[in-house]
Amino acid sequence: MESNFLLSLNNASVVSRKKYLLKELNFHIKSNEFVTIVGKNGSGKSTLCKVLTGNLKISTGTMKVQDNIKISYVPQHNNHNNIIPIKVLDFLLLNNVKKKLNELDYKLIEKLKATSLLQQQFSELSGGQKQRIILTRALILKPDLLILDEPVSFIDFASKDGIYALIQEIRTEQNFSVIMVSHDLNIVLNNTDRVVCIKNGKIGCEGKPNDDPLLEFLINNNWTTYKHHD
Amino acid sequence: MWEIIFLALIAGLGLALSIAVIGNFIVWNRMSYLADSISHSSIIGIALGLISPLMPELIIIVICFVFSFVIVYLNHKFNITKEALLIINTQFSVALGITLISLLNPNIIINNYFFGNILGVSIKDVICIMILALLIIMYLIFNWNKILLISINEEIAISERIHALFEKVIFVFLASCAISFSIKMVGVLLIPSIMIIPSIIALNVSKTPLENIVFASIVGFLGISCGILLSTIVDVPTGPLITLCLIAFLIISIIAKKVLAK
Repeated sequence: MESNFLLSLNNASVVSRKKYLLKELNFHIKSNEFVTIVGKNGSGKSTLCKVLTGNLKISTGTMKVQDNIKISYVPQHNNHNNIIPIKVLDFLLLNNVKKKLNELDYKLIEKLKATSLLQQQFSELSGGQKQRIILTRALILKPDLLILDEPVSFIDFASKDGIYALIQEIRTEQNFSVIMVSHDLNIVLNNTDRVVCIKNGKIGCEGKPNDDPLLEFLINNNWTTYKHHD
Repeated sequence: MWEIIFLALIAGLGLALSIAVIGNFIVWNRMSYLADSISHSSIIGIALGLISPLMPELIIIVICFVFSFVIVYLNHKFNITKEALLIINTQFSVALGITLISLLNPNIIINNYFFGNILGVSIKDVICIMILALLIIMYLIFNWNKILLISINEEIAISERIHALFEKVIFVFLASCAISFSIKMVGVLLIPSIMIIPSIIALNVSKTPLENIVFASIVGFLGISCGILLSTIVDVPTGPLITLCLIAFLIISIIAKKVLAK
């Protein structure tokens, strides 16, 4: 494994009920890199996220994770427990070595437009607000790697590219890697270092956003109308 | 007489600090029926415990733990529907338990185990339940963040390298211990009511998880105390009276919440 890989998968397959969800997949992410995973519904994007976060074990192959890296995860589904009475502020500090939020954390909360939610009960928030709080908590944990599974589908932000711009802005201050699953290809291509296209559980194509083979693959698969201009 | 009642009240405090505290996590994780199912598994433990040279409670803990571990493991690993697993476990446990009791110990009075008798507790029982309550509280203090995050969103907890299955196994082990030591006091059939009802009542008034646990313990202790005191007045077993008191509290809390909300 290259020493600057935070995390890597080598020939990883996930088999469930005799069906390959991921097949002999190779994937890696470097320090401070922004990787976007694209693919159609059922292609294996969320399965890959679950593998990378430890929520799903690979059936064959190997997964290597650099020692002591902190991973934060914002799952796609809004299936948080709504029974537990917990204030948003307390939730933000859950499983954090810090006992109190500092000035930088409050600035981050402000950027994510979550200040007015701090004293509310987490269970009483809307789906979009909850996802925003999950993202805020993920960032407050100061991760080395942030994994976001289709964040735009839930987070109610002013504009779809607003959340990408915000994450990029925070990255300039915090330096962390991002793995983001997304559908919004036209926005993604302007905001990422590398795009990985998943097709039928395999990597169909990968490269920098402006790589011609990648764009050709995306257009051939009707995934984008994006045109690369020299 | 008052010595017996005093001892029973202390045992009730131990129950409130163990069973009612564990009950919060069971309610939060929508595992209420798991408590009922594990409780029924103890019937097999009772049957085997009575013929074993070991302490019957130990056999009951092992049986409850094995059954609950199998349920949690099958649900966690293979995503088999929890409801179906729990119903199968409850039915199997009752059927096998009663069969074993009939074959191995035909002369025992099964009602004592079904409904318990908190007024018959010994000092040894009280010490055991108090030590268990202390262990449960210590476990919660040291693992508070982990088990709370697992309860809120297990996927996020796992991504932060919390071993969710291990924590669940420890949790069901403690629940098995709590059930085992409570059978003598409240009986197999009524343990789930002390586990679940105080937590549901406390949810109506709690703003934080800690408040939920503290209120549930207080409500649990009040319900147990009322049941004990009532049973000295009317000639009815204590276990059912405790459950009826807790259900009365539940109804009052629901009405009070509605009235206060207006």
